[in-house]
Order: sequence, then structure tokens, then C-alpha cells
Amino acid sequence: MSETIKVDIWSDVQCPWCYIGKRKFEAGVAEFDGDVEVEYHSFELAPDTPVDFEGTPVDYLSQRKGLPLDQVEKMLENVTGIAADVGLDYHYETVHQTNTIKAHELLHYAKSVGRQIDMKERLLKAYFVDGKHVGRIEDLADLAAEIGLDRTAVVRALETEEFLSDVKADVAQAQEYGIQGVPFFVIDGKYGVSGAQDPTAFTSVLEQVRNEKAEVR
Amino acid sequence: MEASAPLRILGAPGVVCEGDVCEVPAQSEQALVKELLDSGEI
Repeated sequence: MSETIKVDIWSDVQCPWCYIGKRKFEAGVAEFDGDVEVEYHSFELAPDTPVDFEGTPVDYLSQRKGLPLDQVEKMLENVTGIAADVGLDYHYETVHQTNTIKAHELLHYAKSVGRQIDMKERLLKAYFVDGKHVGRIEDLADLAAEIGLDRTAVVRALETEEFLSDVKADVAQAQEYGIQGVPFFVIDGKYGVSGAQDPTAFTSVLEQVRNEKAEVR
Repeated sequence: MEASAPLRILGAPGVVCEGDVCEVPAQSEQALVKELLDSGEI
């Protein structure tokens, strides 16, 4: 019986490749004949984004990057097509561009009650598929309640910033590792895999790590 | 978890988001041809 392999994943809620990468990683794990434990970590792609950005992601990217609207639309169409290939139905026309710091605090709250994986999935789907707002406390509490978390406790944790230091610790650790883009996968605390890889790549890496662990025992 | 030694990077980098920018792979030739066919341009 091989040991469980720990995978720490740095990711942001408004990162399209993180959701696509999550699906591909899950498919890779499904093909791996061993045990894998996953923990998500916070990474803020755009920490200066206002909670209530007025406009669509197309407007946001166009304004921030000075790109023509049609070029941004084409980019997002391309991403939407790739998401569809892994079974994700992205709807950029309804996405609420926002600041994700509170969503990250919620993910740490969810971790403290053993529900981080479910919360992560709900937040990503809420943002990319359902057109829900993932930046405001009340909206986040609704999403948490949907997966069975204590809504009142969530509101209290987010209002008091109980888990803000955990978010900051994740961000600091990402910097220490030299992580500049997400998703980023740290396997067994020693190996790094960058980006939304194909499932077979994840399976191969997990097998390689397991074999190397077996050799040193 | 505590960071220790530098990570050993496995495999080639995949697509990532960095800051506001998310990489978007260029359309494959096959996808481009399909799109042109679908739109009636060819």
C-alpha cells in the first residue's frame, strides 16, 4: 500500500485556467491508482479589483490591458471553448468581476470545518457558470449555506476577518515558492507543476512522485 | 505546510493566469478551419 500523496494547489476563484485545471487534475487523479489528498491555497490575481466592479470581464480586461473589446471577446470565446471541452459551461456574459479576498477567507473557513473542496467547487461554479457574485459577504454566505455550512458562522468569520491571516500566509508562501501564475500544484511539498496540464500529465507526475517516494524508503 | 527547499518543477508549464492576464493558447489550425467552415467564410 503506497502512502497518500499530498497535493497543495494555489488557485484563484476568478482564474479560468484554475477551474479547467481542476477538472483536468481530477481526471488525472481518477486514473492514478493511489490516494491523493488535496488542499487549496489562496492566490489573488488582481487584489486591487473593487468588490463591485461596474462592467463585464470584457470591459475589465479591455480597460486594464488597453486591448480592443473585440480582441478580448475573442480571447474569452477561446477560453469558453476550452472549458466546454472539459464539461464546464462558462458564461462570461454574466460573470461579476470582483475582489476575491473574502472568497479566499471563506475557503479557509470551509477548510476549518472540513469542507474546503466542496466550497472551492461551489465558488468556481458560482463565478464562471452561475453568474453569482463571489465578492460580497452576504452572497458568499448564501453559497456556503447551499453546501450546508452554518451561514451565521460564515458571516461572523468573514466580518471579523478571522481567516485573513491564513489567506496572507498562503500568498506569502506562494511568493516563497516563486509561484507567479496559477493554477500551481505542489506535490508532496517538493515538486511543482505549473498550469492546467492534461490529465495524463497529472497522472504521470503522481506516478513519478510515488515511485520516487518508494525508492527512498 | 511549511516551505522548505526550492521546488523541483516537473513537466512542461501548462497555461496559467498571471496578474490580470490569462494565457490563451492560439487556436489550432484544425479549430480555425472548422470556425471558418462554420461561418461560411470558406
